[in-house]
Amino acid sequence: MKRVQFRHSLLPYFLLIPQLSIIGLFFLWPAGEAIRASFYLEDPFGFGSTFVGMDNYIDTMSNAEYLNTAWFTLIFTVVVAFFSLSISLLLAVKADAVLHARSSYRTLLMWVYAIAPPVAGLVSLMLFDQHLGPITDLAALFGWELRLGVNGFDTAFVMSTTAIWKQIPVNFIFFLSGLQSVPKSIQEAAAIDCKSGTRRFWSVTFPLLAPTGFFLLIINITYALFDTFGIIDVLIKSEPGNNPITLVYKVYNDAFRGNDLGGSSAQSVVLMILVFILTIIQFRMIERKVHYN
Amino acid sequence: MAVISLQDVRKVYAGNVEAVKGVSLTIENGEFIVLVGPSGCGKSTLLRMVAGLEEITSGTVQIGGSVVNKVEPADRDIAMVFQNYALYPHMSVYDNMAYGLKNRGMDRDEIANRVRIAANKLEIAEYLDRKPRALSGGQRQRVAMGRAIVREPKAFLFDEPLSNLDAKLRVQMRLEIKKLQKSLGTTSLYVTHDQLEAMTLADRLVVLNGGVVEQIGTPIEVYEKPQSTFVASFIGSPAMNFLPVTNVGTHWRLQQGSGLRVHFDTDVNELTLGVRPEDFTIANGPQSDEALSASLLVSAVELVGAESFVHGTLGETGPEIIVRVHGKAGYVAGETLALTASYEKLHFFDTKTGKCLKVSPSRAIA
Repeated sequence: MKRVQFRHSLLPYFLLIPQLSIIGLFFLWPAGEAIRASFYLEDPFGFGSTFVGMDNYIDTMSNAEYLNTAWFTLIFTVVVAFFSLSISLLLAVKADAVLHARSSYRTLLMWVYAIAPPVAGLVSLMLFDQHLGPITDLAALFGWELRLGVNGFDTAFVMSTTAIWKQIPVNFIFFLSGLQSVPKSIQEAAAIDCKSGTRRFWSVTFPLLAPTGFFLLIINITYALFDTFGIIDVLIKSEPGNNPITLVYKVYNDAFRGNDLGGSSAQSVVLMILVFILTIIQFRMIERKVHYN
Repeated sequence: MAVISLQDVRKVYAGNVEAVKGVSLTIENGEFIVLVGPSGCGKSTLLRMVAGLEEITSGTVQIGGSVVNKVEPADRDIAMVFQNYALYPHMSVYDNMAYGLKNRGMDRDEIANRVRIAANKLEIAEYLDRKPRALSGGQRQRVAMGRAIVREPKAFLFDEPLSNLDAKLRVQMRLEIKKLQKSLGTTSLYVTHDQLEAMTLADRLVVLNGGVVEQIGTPIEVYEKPQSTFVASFIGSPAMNFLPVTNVGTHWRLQQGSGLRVHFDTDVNELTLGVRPEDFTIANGPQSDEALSASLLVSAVELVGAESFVHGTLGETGPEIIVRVHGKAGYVAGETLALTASYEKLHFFDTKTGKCLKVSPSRAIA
């Protein structure tokens, strides 16, 4: 066996410094701080802290408001993941079948990808505005008085719609490339074996897309849990009041509005564990699910 | 079982690229037809048009007496074996074979029965629970065959099914496909670029070139009486030798110093003489009464075991030719050999059109 050798054994570490320092500075250090802070009761003005053990965790978990937020987060995540996946799959299947001007069609579908979450939130804020929003007017035609920021359900609806809209392009790109990597000859073999296109899709194409779909499911759950912060913040104008918010928003709100650093740290540690579990599931499943030879 | 017939079938792709330029062909009941030709000759396109995977620009395709131009692939009652097998990777071997039957609403027991019979026939019964990725190339090939035969279709379509196998397995599978097809008696259309596969499998060969049928015939017919220089050069390995022949007024001359004792009347000015490498005889002396006598300046000898290929030039500077000799040839480079060929082994082609010219045997002169 030939060993790759560097003249100075420090060189590989040196090359890793940029990456390692970013991980250390922006992930490990804050994460460590959060874990430490979750066991302390911090003085709101930073004059001192007291070790309280698991108290922050117990307080958080037994708080009805926290449980409500967790419940809403779960529903929000399921709704966003389900609709953004299914709509983008439908679009990808249709775009895959387009023969003429396919690239411009695809570019149009991917466009939304370039919009930052807070901007997406602003766009929605205008579209769904209680007085000026055209979509609010449209909803009124069907007898639905849409009151963004006032009615909890309406706010949740706009939040979900915006989050779904924003996530569709990402899913679309992955589904489209997944569809294109299904060998053409397998599609053709299926065309000879099965007359119904719908049935062919569910029995052959869809199972072959499963690895992509599963990967996207994890990505979408992570997205709905964390990356929707910008959208939520803009839509509720930084004033949650009685509006529904997600766990991540609550972490921010409790820490920087409520000045409860300890409790908020405990909440973020819980979220960290959640991400950790999701990542493990993802790696385990993806290795097992890949069908291609 | 069914007759497949093609009438003036054409395929024009976007941008006016004509892939198939009017092919007419009738495949009799139970016949094994091989479409052979170089890549890009339109053979796969033709097969895919029969399968329904490619739209037919004009002309008609009939399977079992009815026109199927607009019929869905699944309704044509054909089964296809693909080059890369195209097995469903997420289904077990059993499900791969049963899928087409399930979708046709066949009874569960009947499916199980058919799959079992096919699996036994193909010796894959022990792999029925496995996924395709757990099978070797040869086994996958068998599953693909199994998927075709359980359907008991009107016709089998094969799209270069053996190209992905190694040389030894290819020979073995070639024989098995032939045996299987004969025992089932199913009309088959087989596409390949491998002339050996074509020769051994076909009841009749269809040689395609540039979207046009060059010749249709039994393998031996095609080999012995090629209708064009293309067919002559494509079928047979090493390829047929082509020698230019010039008209010198009173007779045809091959080259200075060589004799061509053939006389015939034709209004063609330039001829090409074709002789297969094995049709030359290495004569003992320079004198010969054969239709063709020439001298070969040996440049190299290749020993390939049972036979040898003697490479050289005709005369000192003439065109290159290859002579096939049985056993080990003891010739060395630089040696001059006397070659002869009898009249019936000579093929004459019009140099311009490449078409074979008929020469009446009585016109050979001494």
